[in-house]
Amino acid sequence: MHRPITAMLWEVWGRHRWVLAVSPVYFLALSILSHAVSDGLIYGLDLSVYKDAIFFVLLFLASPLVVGLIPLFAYACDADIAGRESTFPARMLTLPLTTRALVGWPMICGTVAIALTWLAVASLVLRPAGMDVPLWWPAVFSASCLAWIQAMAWRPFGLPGMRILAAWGPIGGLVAVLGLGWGVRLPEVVASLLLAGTILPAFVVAVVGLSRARRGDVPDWQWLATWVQRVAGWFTCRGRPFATASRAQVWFEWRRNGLGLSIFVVLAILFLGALILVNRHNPRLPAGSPFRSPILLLVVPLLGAMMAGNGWGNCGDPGRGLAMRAFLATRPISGGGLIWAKMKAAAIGTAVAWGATLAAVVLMLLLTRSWAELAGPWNLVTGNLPAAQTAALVILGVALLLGGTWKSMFGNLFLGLAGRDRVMMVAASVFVFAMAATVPLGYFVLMHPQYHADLWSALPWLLAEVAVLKLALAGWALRAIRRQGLVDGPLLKRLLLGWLLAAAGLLLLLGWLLPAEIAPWYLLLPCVVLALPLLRISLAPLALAWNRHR
Amino acid sequence: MNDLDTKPPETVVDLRGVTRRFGPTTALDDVSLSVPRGTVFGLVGVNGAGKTTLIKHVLGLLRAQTGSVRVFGLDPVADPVGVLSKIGYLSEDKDLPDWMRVDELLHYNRAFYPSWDDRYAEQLRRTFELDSAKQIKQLSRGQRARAGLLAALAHRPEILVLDEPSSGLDPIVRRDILTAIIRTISDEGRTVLFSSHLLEEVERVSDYVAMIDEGRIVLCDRLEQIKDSFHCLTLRFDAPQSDPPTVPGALGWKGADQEWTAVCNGRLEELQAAAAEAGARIVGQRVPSLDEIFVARVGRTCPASDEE
Repeated sequence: MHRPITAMLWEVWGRHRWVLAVSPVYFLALSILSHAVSDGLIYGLDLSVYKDAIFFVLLFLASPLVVGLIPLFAYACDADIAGRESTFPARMLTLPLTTRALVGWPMICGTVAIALTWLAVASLVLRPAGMDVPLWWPAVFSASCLAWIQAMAWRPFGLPGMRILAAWGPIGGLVAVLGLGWGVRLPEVVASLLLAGTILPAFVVAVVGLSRARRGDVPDWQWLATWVQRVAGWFTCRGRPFATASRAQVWFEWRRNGLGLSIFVVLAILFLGALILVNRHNPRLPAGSPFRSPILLLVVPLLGAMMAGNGWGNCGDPGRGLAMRAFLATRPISGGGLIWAKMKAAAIGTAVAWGATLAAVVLMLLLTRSWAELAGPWNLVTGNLPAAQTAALVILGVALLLGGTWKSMFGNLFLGLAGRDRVMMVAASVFVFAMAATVPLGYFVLMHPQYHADLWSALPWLLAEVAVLKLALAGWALRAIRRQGLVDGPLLKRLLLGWLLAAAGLLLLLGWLLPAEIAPWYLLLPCVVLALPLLRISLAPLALAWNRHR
Repeated sequence: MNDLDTKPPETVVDLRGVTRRFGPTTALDDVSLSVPRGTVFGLVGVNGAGKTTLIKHVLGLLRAQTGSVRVFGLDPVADPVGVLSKIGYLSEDKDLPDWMRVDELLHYNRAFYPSWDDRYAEQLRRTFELDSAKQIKQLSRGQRARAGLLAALAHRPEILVLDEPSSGLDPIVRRDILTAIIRTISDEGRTVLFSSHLLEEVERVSDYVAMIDEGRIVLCDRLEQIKDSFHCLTLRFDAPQSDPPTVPGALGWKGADQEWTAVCNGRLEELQAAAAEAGARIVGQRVPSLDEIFVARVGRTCPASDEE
């Protein structure tokens, strides 16, 4: 390594080699999926009807490939992005390089990488599925966004959290440039050049910011910080000691994970809300497009929960691996108590996220006077159901939304609680390989209708076998928990009773709502067992003990 | 289940034949150790000797691969709440949550310990000159160490476990606060187990000392007993000696020609007799420092901490 650029790229590779190695496999799986649906018509299923939905799913699945590069090249993976200090690694500030070089190399590498990744995703994932996505301006837009995020990330700020707010300025500016270009129908080349032109100012801002960070010139707006802390004090434990250790731990988990989720939800609502308002009268979007309906906001809590779920089980220290930090491991609280606190914090996070989202949806419906748009989907779902069944359907829907959000947050808790990189890597690999295997398998099944009848009749058996396997594994895990005394006996009994009641309630409700000829009990029962979380919750105390007592 | 309910054991920490391996490295090798109640127990050793590994076994953060660990008669892995509620712990890394403010740290910790003493916590906060409204990440390294010490002390733990407590503390704070605290706790009949590179500091406050090297306890006894059993002797021969003299109990000689000096282990009378038998007379005799004993016993110097 004779050149700084080689060393800097090597560091990025070395730090994230597993993710970077898995990404091409993930990309390949998406490309196969995209080609699988590219025919548009597969044995009676006219996929063109679901074109919007397929596009949304593919875009959602492919977005981590592009968006994931942002924290990587902004050196924000292990940094405190809400903090005042620059996220630029302090050890690199002492390298014998000019600030221009320190900023320039990662900015060039990052912008090129993100632009090329978009081109690859658009050409090999989205376009083969029949989506006529533009190539150039999104590539340049991604690069410009990354450059400005780098500039904001590497600049020190006077207040905690200010970076996140400040970053919305240039990002909003880029969106405005895009909207302006769209409005006056600029050619794609001109829009791309306009966006590319913003990278140079981002570089200048980044150099000025990093120069300040390099000489330790971190602004301190103490007068404002004192005021902010006073306001923040209303929402924290300051002056109010906790009554129990459990409450203290719930507060800890809320501050560590839940607060970030709430901030994400609020920012996402603002962003999507603005997008919906802009798109309301956009003639280019079809009338039924989800991007012009306030209902789109309902994806925010689920999206936020899925993102937060990745870190919800992590008991480690940012930048120091997943191993449980000694501070937490030495608090006199049982493993069961720690997990219970995480579950409660997840429940609070769910309530806050949905509360904010529903308030925003109602507000948007009022602002856009689009209540009437809800009538269609409502009638489609409820049809001619009697009032009691309609009410039950609403309750079920709300429970599914809330439960789904909550489950997304702690569903993979046991992976993070295990506190081992290799467990995360194995889980990620299993997910990618399962996806890679499911796509061709599903395609094969769709392509061979002669097997459909047999598969349909075997489905209850298959589901029952998987459900029995799940219950057997959960039983083993619960027995191990009991034997090792990881969770108090009464708490364990309460959890099991709660699960049984939820399963029985869901079974009865679904049995009442769905006709027996569509969903017989022998199909519903394994579905309910598989839908309700049990095994993964049961594994959580074992994973935590494995992490805490190494 | 809990022996303390009936008869308090004299030994608060008891390790028996504990072995711990990390891959090919043996971090602890058949370690047996007892920490008596109401004493200050110092663990000394070079970097990587196994001090932190041993302390992590006491806290239940590591599970003994062989052997047993008992703290207050309890297994810290099987009953973490029972053990940890009686322990105040300051880690080597001072890994307090960066995002917490000092007052939040105190409120949070207070909830876990029924014995938490608000007045004592406030007194310590003032002594340590910590600003309640400051976030942990805004504190200097020394202030973080003080905040960690405050959180470890304010519930008046039955045993205080300090892993390299001097790291990050300046010499004045180290002497005036840390030493005073350790002695106060010991005077109150509570126990302190601490590891340190600074042998002078260990010598100043410890009742018991265990020297650990490459995962093995090479010396463990009362400090006075250790000091009584080691002597720094200077021998003078009538004629120049080309090789170091042979005296039973001598741990490495320094010198040349007619005068040789060594730290020797044994009774003074026996050493005097051995020196005479070797043809030398003792011209200098003093009690060696713990540092000298450590160097003689382990064979290499104990590196100083960052501040030294």
